Amino acid sequence: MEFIQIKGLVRKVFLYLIILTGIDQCAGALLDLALNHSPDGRYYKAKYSLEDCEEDIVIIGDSRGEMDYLPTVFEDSLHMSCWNASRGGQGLPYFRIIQEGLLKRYTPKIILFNVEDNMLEMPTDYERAGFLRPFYQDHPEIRPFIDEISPLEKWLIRSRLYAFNSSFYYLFRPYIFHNLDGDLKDHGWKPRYGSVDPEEERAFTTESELAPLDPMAVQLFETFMNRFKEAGVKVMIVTPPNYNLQVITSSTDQYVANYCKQNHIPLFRYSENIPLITHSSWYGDRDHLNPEGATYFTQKVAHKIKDAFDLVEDPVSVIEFE
Amino acid sequence: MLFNSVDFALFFPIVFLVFWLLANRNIFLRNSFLLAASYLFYGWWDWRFLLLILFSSIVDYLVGLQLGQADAPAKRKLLVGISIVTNLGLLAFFKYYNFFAESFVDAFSFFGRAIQVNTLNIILPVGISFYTFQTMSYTLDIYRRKLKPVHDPVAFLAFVSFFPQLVAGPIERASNLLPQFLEIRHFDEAKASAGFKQIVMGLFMKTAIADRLGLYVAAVYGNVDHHNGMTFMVATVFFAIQIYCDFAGYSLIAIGCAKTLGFDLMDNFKRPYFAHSFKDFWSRWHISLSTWFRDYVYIPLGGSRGSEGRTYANLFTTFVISGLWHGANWTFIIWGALHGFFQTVEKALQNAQRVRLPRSVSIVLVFTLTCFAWIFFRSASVPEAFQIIERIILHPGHRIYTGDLGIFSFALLAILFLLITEWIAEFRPDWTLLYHRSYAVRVFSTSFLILYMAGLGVFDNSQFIYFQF
Repeated sequence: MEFIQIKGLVRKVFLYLIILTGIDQCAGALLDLALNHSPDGRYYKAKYSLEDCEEDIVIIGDSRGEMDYLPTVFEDSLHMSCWNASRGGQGLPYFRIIQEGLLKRYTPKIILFNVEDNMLEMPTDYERAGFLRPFYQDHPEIRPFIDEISPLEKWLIRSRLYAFNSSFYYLFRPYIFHNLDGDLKDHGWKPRYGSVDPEEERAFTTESELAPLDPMAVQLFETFMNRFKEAGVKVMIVTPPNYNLQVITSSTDQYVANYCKQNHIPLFRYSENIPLITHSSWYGDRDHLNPEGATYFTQKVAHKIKDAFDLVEDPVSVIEFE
Repeated sequence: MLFNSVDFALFFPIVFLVFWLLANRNIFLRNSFLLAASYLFYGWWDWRFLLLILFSSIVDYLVGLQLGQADAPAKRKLLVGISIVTNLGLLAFFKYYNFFAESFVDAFSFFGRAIQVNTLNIILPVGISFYTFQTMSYTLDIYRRKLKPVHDPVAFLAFVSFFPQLVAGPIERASNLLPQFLEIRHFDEAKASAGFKQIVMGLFMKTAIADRLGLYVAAVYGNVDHHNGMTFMVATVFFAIQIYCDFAGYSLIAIGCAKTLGFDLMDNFKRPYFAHSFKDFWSRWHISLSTWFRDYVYIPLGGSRGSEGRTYANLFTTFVISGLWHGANWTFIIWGALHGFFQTVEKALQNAQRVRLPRSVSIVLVFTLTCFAWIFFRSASVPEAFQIIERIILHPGHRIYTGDLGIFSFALLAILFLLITEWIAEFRPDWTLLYHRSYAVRVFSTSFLILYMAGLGVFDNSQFIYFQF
């Protein structure tokens, strides 16, 4: 009698799970539709970076990569097409995913890699790249990175609804408010409007702390650089400026500088450039340049890239900002 | 093994099916299986912890048997003393040794004397505070002649290590749970179904509310120097809800798991933030612990039988000990002391019949003061807690940090959802959708919880907060 009851319960649970799976797949299909028709915003941008982008120059970085470099300025001065694939709050796992997405389809001519002064000292956080989960099914190249988020990931991702976990706000926002993550005509650039008040902001500070490097971050960084090298892509590294914070040195800085020297990678350091760092009207907030500052900064970087190309056919020198 | 892990998702269905295959055939076989499953569950963290629980269980089992036979008061006292010293000794060593050693050094340094005391590199065994209290209640109840000793060692070991409530409660009384191990169990589909629903609701509270709010709380409390008072107020309210949903969620999963196996565990939470007094709060919050302290600490201290002053002292002492139980840190002791203080003041005002506040005002007042105490509970140290309080009072600022807008808005949504469900459960229990009389409504609401979790739950394999205690 009891055995029959238990069997009945198991059957009901099984049936219930099948129905639930059906609902989940339908909901996932609707969300896929919303993603594929996203008018702009971060999902449009991620999709474009992974599936459509074929620009000559691709900028990869975090929020400062996203806000400090204007692709249109590069296009005008270098006569090459450019796409800014950077994303705020992201780190090396995201950069590697974008890299794999690009290299699967084509070989960009130049990668402008925005490196933070503490990038290799921060613990590697795969969870942040979790917003790319909706692409998991169609993009096998990103799976190893998403699987790193947690041991549950491989199982949970089978749910289509879970693939969009916590993404709804950013998925639907562009349907209501346009261009909050940047205008399409700006090719991935997200402006940071506003300005800092020098009276209220931090006083001029210097930083020269040597924190230990995170081995996993170092490994990801090296793989990132090697993958582009193997594909024949020229990589330029830029360290961006912060308002009133002069980074004299850091473990990341030292490591990256040595790496660039050994591997003949051009490195442009703006994180210690006093005129740029102290120019308050160029900053939207203490960490990001406003459109005026970003335009000026991008022109400077474009000039440096031009120099690097003009210098020799195959750039071999480490270039420091004067 | 965590309830919110793949391991448990595989473990539990197997245990459920095998248990019911054995349930009404042979009690010994069934209890042996439960014991093995519970030890596997616990040993998943670290098999060495099993030796501790086995040791504590064997001591209390033997003490229980001896107490059952002993009549001489001196011998009975000696036996119960062995049980208390063993259990509290384990707790003192594994949980408090370093705390007391460091506090000792600090105290001497304060008076200008430097002394050297070595601290030990000890791993705190998961759930030690819970199972030591549970097994101690067994010997104490036999000592007080409220319970007869159990002779079946397997049933006793299975009772102490029963996996649903082993690591974070509810701290069951032997008189309630132990007899259930000695009975033949019959499968009841309605009970199993109710248990599964409790599991779903518990997982929802953990993943969709507690862990969601936890992202914001960790960002604020992990960066004390960078936030203003208003942000700390929001983060503290979020933490109040986070810890409630984390712990009540765990308790619900534990109660639900036990129910699917035919066991009834006590309720551990009853919508504590609707409490209109601190006395009411402690009859709704972590009920199994507060009643444990009432029965085994407050009443033996004299309870309310002595003078008014003595009653207040007993109450205050009990809460300070309760604070210490939560963790080996002054932050927890101050948290406990604050609750003791609130309760004594409340009792004094009631005795003087001076204050009568409207119920809604009392609820808000109790919640506000509870949040104030949570600042100490959540802070890494006492100075940090004071720094936060200083920010709230002196530097409230004029802008609340929201962090990622997506995370923040989902946190607000989670709070709204909790508020509605708690309000319904408190004031309109007949509206509770999960237990509605209509089958369709029940299925729909359960499905909604599961799909909400898939879409908005946080699955970062995070521990339950109370595991650390």
